[in-house]
Amino acid sequence: MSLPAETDEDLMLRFGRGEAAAFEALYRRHESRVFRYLHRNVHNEASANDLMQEVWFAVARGARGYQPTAKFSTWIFTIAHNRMVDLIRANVRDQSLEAGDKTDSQGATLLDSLAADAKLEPSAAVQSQDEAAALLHAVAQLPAEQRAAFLLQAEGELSVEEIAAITECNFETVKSRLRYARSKLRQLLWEYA
Amino acid sequence: MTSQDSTQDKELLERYRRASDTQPAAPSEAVRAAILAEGRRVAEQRAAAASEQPFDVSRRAANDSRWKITAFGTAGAALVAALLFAPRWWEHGPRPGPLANNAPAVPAVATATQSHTTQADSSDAFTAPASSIAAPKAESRPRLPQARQGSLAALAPAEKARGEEPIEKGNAQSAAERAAPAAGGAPTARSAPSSPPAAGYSQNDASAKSVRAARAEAVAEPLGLLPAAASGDTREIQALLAQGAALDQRDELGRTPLMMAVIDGRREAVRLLLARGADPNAADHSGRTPLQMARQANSQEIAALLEQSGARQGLGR
Repeated sequence: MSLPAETDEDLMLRFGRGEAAAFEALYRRHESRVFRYLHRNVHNEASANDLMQEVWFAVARGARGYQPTAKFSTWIFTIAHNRMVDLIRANVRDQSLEAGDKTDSQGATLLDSLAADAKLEPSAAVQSQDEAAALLHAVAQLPAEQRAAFLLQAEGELSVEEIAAITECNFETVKSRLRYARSKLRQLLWEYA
Repeated sequence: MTSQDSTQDKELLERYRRASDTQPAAPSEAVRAAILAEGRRVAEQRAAAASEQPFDVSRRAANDSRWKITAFGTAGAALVAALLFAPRWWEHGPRPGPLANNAPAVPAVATATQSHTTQADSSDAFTAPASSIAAPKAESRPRLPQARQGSLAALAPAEKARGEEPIEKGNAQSAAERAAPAAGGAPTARSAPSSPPAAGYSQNDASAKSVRAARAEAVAEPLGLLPAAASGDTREIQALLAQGAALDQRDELGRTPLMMAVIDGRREAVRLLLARGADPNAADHSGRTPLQMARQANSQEIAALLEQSGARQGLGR
């Protein structure tokens, strides 16, 4: 079986022709990366599971009209990012309605308003005495927009241009977010060390 | 960015990936099973669809007969144009007017000439404009063959002949000869100045023809619902739908007219498209539904409209 050697796009086209094995191969190939991206952005296992299901259902149902005009990973991370933003938007709206706040009309700004998980304070990371955990906690500490950009690069292995397209920002903005994210991570790691 | 920065960035990414691997993250078994089951279900559907359609219809066949569509489509458009144009032609008839000398008369020459060469007993109402139109054109044209000249000459004095001396069948040339002196005593070309009124009719006819042709083109081209929806032009949308434009047409990103209206916040267009049966749960190539787009654009009213029409927050189709 030559499945592993095939590109994602080939697998998707085969799936579009009715081969379930191709879909399973695709899923196995991207399961962890997509789930990590979602989970580390929303900090919630249940929400990440829901989003994961939505994203892959969308992939399955999109097979009919799929055209390999872009990388499959760019496509799936675009879906994942959009679903995540929708979820965050809904959460922020609920919170804003409760607090009587006014929500921002810009999706990206709303993303930024997602508070970091209180359980993920730097002290908790330091207490874990585990560098890997500290790094992941440091990622969780990043502002949401920077975190999303960093995770798209780290988990999705996407280029700045691709991240810009997914997040609907310009190239320089994404570059700047990545630079700030890396700088903060280094700082947090240095503090931990 | 210096090479040292680049190295540090790569190292940071590597450290993150190593850290990420130490804490494997995976969805629950239930989610994984649901995803794979959905994949199998869709694959079965696709396989069934493929078996029903053993040939790849998206590819052009060697014996492709699309030329027929093109040919019949063009002929159909021409027929529609003719049907629209003919009633107006017959309704107006020859009409005296002050614009006589300014009218471009080329199209009418051919029509009228053809009519008279094949049918010498045509009604006067029709021959009159043709004669006057034919004359100015004949002046600038090279000499025509005898038969052709005869037919044009027969047309030349028609205005005078109208109601006085009907042209007899099979005797068009002699009728022209008889009528020529009355129109200035000259053959076709010189008869032109004596019959200006019908040229005015020709001008009206030309503008009417261009309007009809434009309408006919619009009828033959019912696409454009996407831009109409994006601009929120409800009249245009209604017109296009009346012409048979498909509600489910999509652009290169898989967006439907409804999505275009939602993205641009065209509430009335959204209302109209939903009322006409647009699918509120269709998804674009990235999987986004109109409801998600409305929420992303913070369009509460449009989101409410979509929800009233059965739109779901979840997956589209």
